[in-house]
Amino acid sequence: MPRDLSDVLHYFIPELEPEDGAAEIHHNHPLGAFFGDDALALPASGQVPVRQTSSVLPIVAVPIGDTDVVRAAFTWNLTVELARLGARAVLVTPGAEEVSPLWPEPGPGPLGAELVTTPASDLGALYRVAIDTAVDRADGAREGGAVFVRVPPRWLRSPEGGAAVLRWTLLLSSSHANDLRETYGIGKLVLRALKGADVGVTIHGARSRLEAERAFARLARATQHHLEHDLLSYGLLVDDLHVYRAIVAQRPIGLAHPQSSAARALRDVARLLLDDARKRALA
Amino acid sequence: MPEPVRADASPDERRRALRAALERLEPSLRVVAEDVLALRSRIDLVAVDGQRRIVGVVVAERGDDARALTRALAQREWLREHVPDWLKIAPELGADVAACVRAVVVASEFDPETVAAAAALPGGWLELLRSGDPGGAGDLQSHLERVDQRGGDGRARSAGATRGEAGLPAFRSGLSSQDLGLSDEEARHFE
Repeated sequence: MPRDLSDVLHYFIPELEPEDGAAEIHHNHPLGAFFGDDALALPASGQVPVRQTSSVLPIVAVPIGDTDVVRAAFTWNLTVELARLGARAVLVTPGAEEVSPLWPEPGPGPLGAELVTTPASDLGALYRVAIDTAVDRADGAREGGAVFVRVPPRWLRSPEGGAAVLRWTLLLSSSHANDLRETYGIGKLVLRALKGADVGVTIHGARSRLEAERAFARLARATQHHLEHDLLSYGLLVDDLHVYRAIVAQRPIGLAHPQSSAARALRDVARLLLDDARKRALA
Repeated sequence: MPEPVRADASPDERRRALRAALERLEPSLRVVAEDVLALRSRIDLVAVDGQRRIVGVVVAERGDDARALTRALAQREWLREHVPDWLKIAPELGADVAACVRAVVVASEFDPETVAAAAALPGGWLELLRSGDPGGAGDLQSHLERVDQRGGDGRARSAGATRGEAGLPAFRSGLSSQDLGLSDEEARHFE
């Protein structure tokens, strides 16, 4: 059963909670209401203790083509938003070439979000760099965190030795039919490379929540029907004008336009990812 | 295997067969108009591809591929001028006004000079597709394959050519439909 997009409902309603809510010691897991806390292996109270360090940060693989500026921009912005929530946030990307004009120079960036580049030329080498980074950056990450890893989609066709990096994969898709077809196909490649991988989807470019829900439902149905696999929903991102202005200005959306609906939606998706990252770290 | 097109098929039937064959070759392609009057002649099919580019498809009669190439280039230019207006009227077409327009010429055979001329054009401008069923009926449009536009010998390559050979990545990821390996049934979920 996929998670519902109502997890990001407050993109559509006024924000009432303080920004630092996610850094509290205990946190209600948004999946609890959907799956039941037992299914999530949560403590009986349904509370997840988060001030606990793990020896390795969870790795989130994000398939992004070499010239896919929009997906690259969203991924870097998610990294920054994760850092804003107090978490350790790193983005690892292979290749010396510039993938997105939004990405900064390698090293620590806004709010401590970090970009790591690697000369890895296949999935196996990328996985080793990702693991090293996940272990190294876990030290002292009291609020948890995650390592996003950009995976060139063409590498999914030859995953030898690196399929484990796909254990938790995030796919970014617009609600257009062609994008959904592509996203389904990439999910299929991921699941062929690593049976049982957790594949999540964030929808962007939808004009309404309903459109995003329908887009996700189409993906989830096809994936369940043909691949017998349940997709996870990681909410929706908003393609408003601020996204493109921020890309052009090479500033993260959350810093350039913090009150925009795009920034708020990013924050919601980052929270969902961080919640899952914490659960994985504890596991 | 698709049904072959009858020799006495009407233009509409041939166009339908061509449309089906195109969508099999490139599942991300969405045909949005048929038989569109352009400058002085008609564009057989107008489609939107996986990169939200407008695609104009021209079918050449046997032996008329060189003239069809000229016509396709003219119609490409015509489409390029008119697409912004179309999108104002019908934004749901989903095409990207800033993306380049692709021209496609379909013919049963291509003269080596036509292939050489196509190869000299900027990448992504024009693609040659050879029609015919595997049995060799030649002028039928139930089966299409991409023509290698690098070699200039006019011989067709397999439709399973890689993205670099065909020069036409279908998706933002840089992968083509063949890379994703979707079955027709899977692709239908997203029509």
